[in-house]
Order: sequence, then structure tokens, then C-alpha cells
Amino acid sequence: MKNKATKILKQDILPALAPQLRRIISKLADSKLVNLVEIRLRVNKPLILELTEDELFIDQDGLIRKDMRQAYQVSQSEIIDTLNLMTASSLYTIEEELKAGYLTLPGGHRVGLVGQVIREHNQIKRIKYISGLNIRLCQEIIGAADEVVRQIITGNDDIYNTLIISPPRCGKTTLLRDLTRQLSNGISELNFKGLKVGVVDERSEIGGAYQGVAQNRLGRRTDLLDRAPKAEGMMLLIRSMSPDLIVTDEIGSKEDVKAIWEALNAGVRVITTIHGNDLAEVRSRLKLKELLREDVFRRIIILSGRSGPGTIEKIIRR
Amino acid sequence: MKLIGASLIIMGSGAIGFVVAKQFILRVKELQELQTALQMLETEISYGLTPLPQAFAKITTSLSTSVAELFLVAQEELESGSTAQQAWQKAIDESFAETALIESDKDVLVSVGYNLGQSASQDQQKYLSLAQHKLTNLYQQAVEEKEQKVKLWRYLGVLLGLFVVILIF
Repeated sequence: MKNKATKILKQDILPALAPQLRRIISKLADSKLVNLVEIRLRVNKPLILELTEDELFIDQDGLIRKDMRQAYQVSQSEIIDTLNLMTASSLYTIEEELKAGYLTLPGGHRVGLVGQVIREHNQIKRIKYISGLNIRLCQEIIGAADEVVRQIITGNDDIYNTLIISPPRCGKTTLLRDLTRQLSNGISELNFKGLKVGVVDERSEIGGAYQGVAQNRLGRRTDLLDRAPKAEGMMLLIRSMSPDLIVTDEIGSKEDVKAIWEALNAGVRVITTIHGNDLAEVRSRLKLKELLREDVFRRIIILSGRSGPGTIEKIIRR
Repeated sequence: MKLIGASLIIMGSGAIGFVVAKQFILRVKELQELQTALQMLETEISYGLTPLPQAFAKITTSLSTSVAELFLVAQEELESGSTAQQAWQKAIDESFAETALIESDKDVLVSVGYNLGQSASQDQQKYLSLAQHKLTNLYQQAVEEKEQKVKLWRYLGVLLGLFVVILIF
């Protein structure tokens, strides 16, 4: 685990950064970067490295500064260069991503984008003049779901429908990914046979797929539908891949909820996640009320970042 | 002895004429290939959404003249982390001397680099169409020039040789 963040940084992230930024960050000692979560680039603002519980400002010589004003200022051209490097200078390949406001690097690292929005029919058509990037490291943690998986399996070939409630950056995708891997492979010490798993990965965060092939381990019986809209993707999987279990991340819209109902009615098990702090809060959202009332989800896992990302606050059994 | 000397002079001078004439023929061929290449690039960008390095690689394999070198260098530069414009410019700098193209052709090529990869595919299509349009004009000029000048240079070479021979002897 210790070297992992730095290894990911060197392998996946640094080559995608503008040369000057690359040079500055690679001057930092590995030990400072163990808990690296995000790299933030904003035009004419300091370069900030977000750690799990802290943030680092570094100056142009790669030295850590306490005062934000002494930190290295990111320029417009560095953001443009970075985007070019991320896309092999082919911005036209990320039109859909520019609409959604993020793109995914090989390895599943999500890069959020902001800037000037171009609208069409009151919808975001794309983001032009990109002024800020947020590069989030995707860390695959094998074994992250060890504790949870025991709670959600029933018998040797079935599981309870499970909902993971978590605020952002508290490890819900990491947990979901490892759950997928374990349930798909099967768990010999629990005498659990593997399930056919269908993953709808709208944001490419679960599988971190590159050209459709998962870069993270998702298990041997997993079919990955990369970058598909959730509702449509779930229906496609049910129709064509006969999954035992469907896994998808961050449900929220009416269509998502409807598709989950359809999956449940088709006898498919579902594991999904939702942004939120606790059950009461999630329940208060109109769209989700029905889904929660009927005891559809027999296991609800609540995460927090209290003692680091991935802290399991509570597992509710119903 | 005189005869050998005279024929050497004529052959040498004639060869120079042929070489110059060849440039006109080559330029037409290369402009034609460039048009094809840009057409392919447009298709790769608009329908395939293929990233530039892969698109360049595909184009390289389907070309036969020195134009292939241009796309090859551009691809290598892109893969080593240059931006599209840098890569394209470097490719022009490195491979232009190998071609029979002239300055006005170079200007069109350089202008392609300014927008390469930097916008949505619809815009890319427009830029590339514009470049193709310019190349078509240049191509027509090149064809006319070729018809006028190929024969001219060939005759000129031989005749100049004859002239020198007559002068000497």
C-alpha cells in the first residue's frame, strides 16, 4: 500500500502532466506522497496536492511551502498542455467527456474539468476554455471489501441487494470494486461460488477501463459495460448477458431508479452506491423513497472518512 | 576520344534536365497523396474518433511517397509527449527537404498544424476541408506546371549539352 500511490503517480499521472508540473512534482520525496488523493490545477492559482487529511503546496523547486502564496502558480498553457498530453493531442476524442465535465485516464483516474460552458438548448454542450483540472488517483485496494462481503452473502450462491451510502471521497468506489471482484471470483473460505456479474461503469471508475478492457481487477465472471449510461446499460446487460448480479455506481436520477426496479423484477441482484451521509438523509430524497421503503435493499452500508477513507460506520441489516 | 567526351557532356547535362523535370512529376504525386492523407485523417477524426497517433500510423502505412515520412515523424513525436502542433511542425521540418514540394505547399501544411486535434470533431473537419481545398488548387497548378515544364527541362538539358559540345569543339 505504501508505495502504491507513488507508483501510480509515476506510471499513470506524471506522464500526463505538462513538463514543468511533472518536473516539480517528481522532485518531491516519495514519502510525502503516500496519501496523495488529488492533484489540483487551476489557472493562475497555486498547485495543490490533496492528501487524505492535508494539502501540500509546493514551489517551483519542489519544496513544500506552508504559505500558499509561495506555491507554484499553474498557468493557462500548462493546463492546455496537460489536456493535450492526456488525450494524445486529440481533444475531439473526448467530446462526450467534455460535456460531462470529466475524463478518465488509463488506470481509471478521473480528471474533473471546469471552464466556460457552451450551452445548447439549455444543456451543457461542452466545456471550452478549460480553467481547472482535478486529477483524482484511483487506487485499487484488494481486500477492501473483506469485512463487508461476509455480511451480504447468503447461502453459497446468493447475495442480498446492497446499497452503499457514502459522502464523496470516502472509498465507496474502492469498496464496490473489491466487492465486485470477490463476488465474481467466489470466496473459497466462505464456500461462496462466484456469480456472473454485470458492471455498468458510466464513469469508468470501477474498472478504469482503457479501450473497453478493465485495468482494475473485477473478477473472472465479470462483464464490463464501460461508459454506458446507467439505466440503458443495466437493461442491455439484463437482456444480453444474463447476469446474476448488477453492479453500478452513484445512482440518482429517476431513470436509474426505474432501471434498478426492472433489474430487481427480473430477479437480478443489485449492488449500488449513492452519495449521502446516512440513511435518513437519503430517504428524504423523493426519487429514492420508494426504493428504500420496500426493504428492497436488505443490506445498507454506510461509509465515512472518520478514520481515513473507507471507514465503515454501520451495516444495516433488514 | 572526342566522341566519348562529347557524349559524356551531353549525357550529363541531359541527366540534370531529367532530374529537374522529375521534381515536377514528384510534386504532383506528393500533392495527390497529401490530399488522400488529409481525407483519411478527416475520416479517422470524424467517424472513428481515432486519436491522432493511431490515425497517423494508419495513414503512414497507406502512403508510398516521402509524404509517409511526414506522418511517421509526427506520430513518433506525439508518442514521445509533444503537443500536436509541435509534433506536426517538427515533422515538416524534418521531412520537407525530402519531398518535391515547394514553399506554398509548405504553408498549407504548416497551417494544418495550428488546429490539429484542438477542437471538436466538427471543427476539425472544417479545418481539414479547408486545407484540402487549398491543396486541390495547388495540385491543379502543379499539374499545369508539370505539363509545361517536364518536356522543357528534358530538352533543355540535352540541348545545353549539345551547345557546350559545339562550343568546345
